[in-house]
Amino acid sequence: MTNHNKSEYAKHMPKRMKWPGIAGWFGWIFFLLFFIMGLSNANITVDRLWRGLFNAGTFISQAFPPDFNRIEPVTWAMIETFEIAIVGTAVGVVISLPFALLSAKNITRSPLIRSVTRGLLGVMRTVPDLVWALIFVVLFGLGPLAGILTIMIDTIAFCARFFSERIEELNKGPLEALESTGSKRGGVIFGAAIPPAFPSFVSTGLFAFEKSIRGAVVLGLVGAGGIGVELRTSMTLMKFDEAAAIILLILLVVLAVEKVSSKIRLRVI
Amino acid sequence: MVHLSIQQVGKTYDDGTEALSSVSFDVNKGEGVVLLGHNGSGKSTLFRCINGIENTSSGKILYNGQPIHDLSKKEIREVRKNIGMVFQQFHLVGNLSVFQNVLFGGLGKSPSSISVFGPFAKQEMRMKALECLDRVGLIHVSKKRADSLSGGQQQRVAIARMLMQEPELVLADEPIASLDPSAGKEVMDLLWSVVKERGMTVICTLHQPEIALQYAERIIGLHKGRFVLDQQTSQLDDTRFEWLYEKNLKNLSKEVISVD
Repeated sequence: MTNHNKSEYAKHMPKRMKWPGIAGWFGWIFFLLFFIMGLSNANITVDRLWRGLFNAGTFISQAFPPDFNRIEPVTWAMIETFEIAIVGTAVGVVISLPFALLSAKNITRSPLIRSVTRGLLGVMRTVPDLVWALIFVVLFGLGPLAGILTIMIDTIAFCARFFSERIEELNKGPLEALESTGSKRGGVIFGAAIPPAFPSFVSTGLFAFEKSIRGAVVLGLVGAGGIGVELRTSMTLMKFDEAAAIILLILLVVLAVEKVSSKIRLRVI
Repeated sequence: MVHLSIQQVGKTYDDGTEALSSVSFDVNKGEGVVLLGHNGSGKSTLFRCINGIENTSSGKILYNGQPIHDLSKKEIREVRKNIGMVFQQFHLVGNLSVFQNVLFGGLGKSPSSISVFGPFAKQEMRMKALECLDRVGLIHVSKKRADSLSGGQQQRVAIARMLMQEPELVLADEPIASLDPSAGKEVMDLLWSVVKERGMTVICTLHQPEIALQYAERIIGLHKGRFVLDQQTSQLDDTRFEWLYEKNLKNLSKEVISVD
């Protein structure tokens, strides 16, 4: 027994397929245009793909066995990359905190301050890190300083957003309780906002560090210090066995960092 | 001596709900008052107005004869230092130690906020926090995380935090509403005895008349934001007593009763 006659069902039945609207059509045309142009401009031919495969063979045969003769300078460069990641991330995480507080709705009441902070974070996030690195190399010259500053900006953009989301989720009870003692704003924030969010800050900070170590490797390619410089040199000089040693070292360090950081993360949460 | 004077206080929220409508009463220094009413009777709103979390829409609130409605942020902080709060949900910082939570009671009155944070607190402050914990019978859990305690214990920690603050007036907002009856009794016994031994004024909201009768010297009834009863507990006559027991505050609202 149903409420309606089956003959009335037709007008309630959703269409099997809906044609896109005008904006939808434009979207599809736009997408297909660039997709086809992209494919054709990449100049993909069977011949080229075949040659690539052949080159891969040469590359691998020359890369093995890896040449560890330059292991000493390479290790120092790796240590420099590690330092860039540590310093940049640590300073970035610390600076993220005020940014996060200033962009969190439940802490900063003024919409003006909030949108200015969010705007700044938006700029940091949307400009890619290699572009930041190029800018800092121009400003401060080649070397690790440019790398540190780039990692710092990257970390702030990443952490401040997650920190402030965590702060906005806070239970407002303890905040009100400390406020009700007549405490100043700072006391309330350090007493009831930061402690409950702290485990999440640590976890996010560790993610940022994992991101930074990978980022710092690449930054060397544009001259911002670290092992990237070594890798680029070996590649340009076609010393693929040296390059292989460097890549292995990078792999090792990145894996170790991820392992340790996930161990720590499990302990804090 | 009048400690707190509520004069024709009304509160209408932005969305048009009228939470309080010209409520008036005085509370004397050292008095123990229970504010009785159902959910939505305006008890919490009244507390929020006294504490400056909300502004009143009309009327006056005087603290020791001084108006405390419509103050600047700085002035509100000064008033709050002398008003201790106890909340239904305890409002402890869960992942910090019991000891640290008690220390937070000193936030308002200590000259710099940093002096109530564990590692930076002076020995004198640390001793005082332990003393407060000892008074509520929980010195043995001082190092535990606050959220590892039972509800009743957490509320006792909240009372210790309030003692640390050394307020003159205590506002307890449904302190036992989320506790089981035996823990609730323990908390009420403790709250009333610490408040009385230190000569503090206390206003406590409850919704169970039978508990109000056990503790209060005076009962004030609120119903839908209106003032419906104000009576010394010892002078409650049988009819009103029954009304209370039937939780029939609605009937009381037909005739506003006040005795002085």
